[in-house]
Amino acid sequence: MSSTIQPNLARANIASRANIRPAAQSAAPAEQPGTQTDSVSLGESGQAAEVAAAPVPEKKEDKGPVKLKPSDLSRPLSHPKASQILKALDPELSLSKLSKTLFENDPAAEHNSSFELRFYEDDDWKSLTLVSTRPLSNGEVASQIHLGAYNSAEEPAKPRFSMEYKPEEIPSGYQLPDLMQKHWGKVFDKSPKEMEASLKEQFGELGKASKIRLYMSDLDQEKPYFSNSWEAQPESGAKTGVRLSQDGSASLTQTVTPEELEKGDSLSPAVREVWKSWGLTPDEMVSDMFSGSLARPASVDVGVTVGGDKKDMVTLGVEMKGRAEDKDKTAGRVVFSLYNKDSEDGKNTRYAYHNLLNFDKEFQGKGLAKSVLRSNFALYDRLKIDKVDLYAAITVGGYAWAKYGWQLKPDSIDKLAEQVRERVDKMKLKPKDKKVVDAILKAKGPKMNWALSDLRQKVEKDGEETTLGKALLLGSRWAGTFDRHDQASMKRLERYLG
Amino acid sequence: MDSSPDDTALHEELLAGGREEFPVESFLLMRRTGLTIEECLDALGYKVSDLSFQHRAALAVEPNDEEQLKALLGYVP
Repeated sequence: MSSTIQPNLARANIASRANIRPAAQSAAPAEQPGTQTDSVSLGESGQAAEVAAAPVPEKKEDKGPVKLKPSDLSRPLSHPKASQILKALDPELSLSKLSKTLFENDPAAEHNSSFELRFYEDDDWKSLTLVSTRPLSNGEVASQIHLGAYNSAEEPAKPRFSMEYKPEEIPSGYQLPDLMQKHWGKVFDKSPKEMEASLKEQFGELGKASKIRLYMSDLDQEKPYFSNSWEAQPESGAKTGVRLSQDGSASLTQTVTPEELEKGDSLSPAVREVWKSWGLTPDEMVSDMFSGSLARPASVDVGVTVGGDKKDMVTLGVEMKGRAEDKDKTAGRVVFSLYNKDSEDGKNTRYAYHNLLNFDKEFQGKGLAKSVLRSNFALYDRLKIDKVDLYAAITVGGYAWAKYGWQLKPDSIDKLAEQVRERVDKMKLKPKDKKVVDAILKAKGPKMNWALSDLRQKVEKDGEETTLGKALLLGSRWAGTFDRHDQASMKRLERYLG
Repeated sequence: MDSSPDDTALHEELLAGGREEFPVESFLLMRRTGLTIEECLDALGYKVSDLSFQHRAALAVEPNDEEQLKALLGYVP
């Protein structure tokens, strides 16, 4: 089991399996909300998944499953815990409504199906999944609807909705359930059919989708988050995932072994074409990163994203294993993207985006994390990357990335100030300490997080003694950028990577 | 939508192996808000005697004087 901190739980992934909660592990989840990178990968299961969303869930034991008959769906949910979770997730929803979403196109099939209800709850994560299994001409087919939400002290649980089905379940072709249909137009300019057609144009070699997954969150917002991904079977044989994202971009990711990658012809022409612009092949990047490392690449996700505002966007996801006596042990997973985009000052800027840096606890303290991050920065140097962006989140990240030299993105300055003010209001700070924090917050600069993280006065938080910097930033969430041309940032990073 | 690379193992390893150094950038940021040198050092957990020669000298520099700071530290903090 990886020891990880769940990143950005406000944006945390929703898994298509009910027994998944958003705490990271090495395998990419089947379903995740969009991210700044909007790329696609294949999880361990081979299902299309977005590699860009770092949060990778940790499996938790389900409560349940509770077997249901079709007739149970129209009755109030008798299981008290499941009923409580469903109400907490969305008071408007019932099993009957969920089921109707699955069977909108084929109401009669509901009667031939069997159902299972899976649910999970702990202090910070609730989920409920309705799985239907029904006989079709080609055998049993399972489709599922998943509702999940993450609770945090700072952000109340918000329902996230995903649906997974196979194309053969939809006799009339690609249609959206009601719940999604009413939100689609708020998000996408094109109809689902049009988007599918444009994807085929972009990634022509893709075969027929074998599993489709729809995901929605932020339903209370004017523009909810909405994504659609599927697994495809191209002739090349590489596992391929496709994803349509909210910004109108389309991503394609192929999963290959390092040996297949080395051969060079395992990737589709559409993928190879975008990678060309970086002057290094995915194979060369992977070789560079793991030369002399404690870990070796075991599986590589090579992705490209087209059609959004990010140019030449490529994503590399590497599943790591150990070497020598640790050769069968999973060491972690690294995912990052590279792209060109105009920065705030209008200049074309080369960006890297850190999606996931996930290391197994067994490799902790051996220098693997440091060597991988150092290799990444060596690669950024070679590629002349200007900025390295990420989203700092839950637990250590909000504090640690500031210590390493990541500054606040403009949008995050006020957001972090607000989070810190809320904490200060709840803490009993000495007047002199409060004066310092107030002064830093008033300065409102992009390096405000640095100063906050460096505060070392001893304070008590949740009954434990800690530093003021940790008390204010552990668990905070902000978008950060590392400016490779800023010497002060580089000096801060060197203290940890040097 | 955002994703995050955060990971306990990553941060524990990096933070544990970090080299402690006076955060001169944070000191200057705080000084620019009007806090006194003493208030800043106290908040950052340092005494003057803990500081290197350059950092000790930086205490006396006007916090917005980039030229002097660069001459002293070799970069603009």
